[in-house]
Amino acid sequence: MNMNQENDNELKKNAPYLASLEKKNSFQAPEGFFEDLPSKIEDKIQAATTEKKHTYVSLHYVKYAAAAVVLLVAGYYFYPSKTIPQKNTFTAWNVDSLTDDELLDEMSDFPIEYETETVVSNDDADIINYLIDNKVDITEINGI
Amino acid sequence: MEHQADNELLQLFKNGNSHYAFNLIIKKYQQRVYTHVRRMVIDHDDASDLTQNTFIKVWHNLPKFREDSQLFTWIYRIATNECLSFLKNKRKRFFLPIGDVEGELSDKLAHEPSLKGDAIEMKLQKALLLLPEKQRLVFNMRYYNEMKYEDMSEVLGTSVGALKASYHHAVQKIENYLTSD
Repeated sequence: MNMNQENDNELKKNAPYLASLEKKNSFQAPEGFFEDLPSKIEDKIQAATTEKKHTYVSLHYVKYAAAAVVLLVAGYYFYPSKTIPQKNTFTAWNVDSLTDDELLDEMSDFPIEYETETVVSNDDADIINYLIDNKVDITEINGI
Repeated sequence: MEHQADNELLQLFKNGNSHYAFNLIIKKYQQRVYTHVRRMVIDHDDASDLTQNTFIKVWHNLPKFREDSQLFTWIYRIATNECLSFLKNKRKRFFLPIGDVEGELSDKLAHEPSLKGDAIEMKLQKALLLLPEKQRLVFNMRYYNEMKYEDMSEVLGTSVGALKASYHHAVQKIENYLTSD
């Protein structure tokens, strides 16, 4: 018994009315549809391939453009933008040519660091020793 | 029209004549795929799009086809998945419950010129739309395409036993619908 016979017998047994109906293909494609379909499919495949290539090319350039932007931004932040202040050095020539007032003016532009000796200990004995070593009259300080 | 055997077409595809072989594959299977899809989505334009998508997927995946299954059942599986995804997306897009999609398909049936004047055929097609999608697939594949359960099992990834039961239920439901007033 072949498959079709088996199917028919199955149908007759379970659904006699359905089995009595003629099998129809109610959904016919419009005329000429199957003649054009292979070329339509090929065209779609071709179009998708071309589109993919274009997308790839543009993405290729976008990749480089993005890298350039990153480099520019990084360069902006990391490049030493502050110019190194030139040291004002007095040469023998310009020092000699300056008047005293000009020399004072020039010097006032320089920060002058004063060496200061700081008393690091709060211990009374250390303070008294320091004052004695520097010949400071302790009684004067205390107002005694 | 005489078609070449699947193994010859696949050999041709592998031997570098891929476009020519693919064209022959389309010509061999386009009508069966279209009819299978059309029965599921009813509308011709939708069926045309889904048939084209099916063959585009065939083209892209044919180099990976390992011949574990027959070419025919493999193409059928792609077409079936296209149909199920289409119906699922339709439901999602319009937030439609199952019944509303079937209602929409039923409306399309009413405008189908080939069904006009054929009350019995129209009733049969309406009865089919009342079946769950997968049961409708099973019914179509067995009743119209006269496929073997083993081939249907390859297409649908369901056991032969489950398919037999599903077909039996579908037939019963349709018979009841057709014989009721």
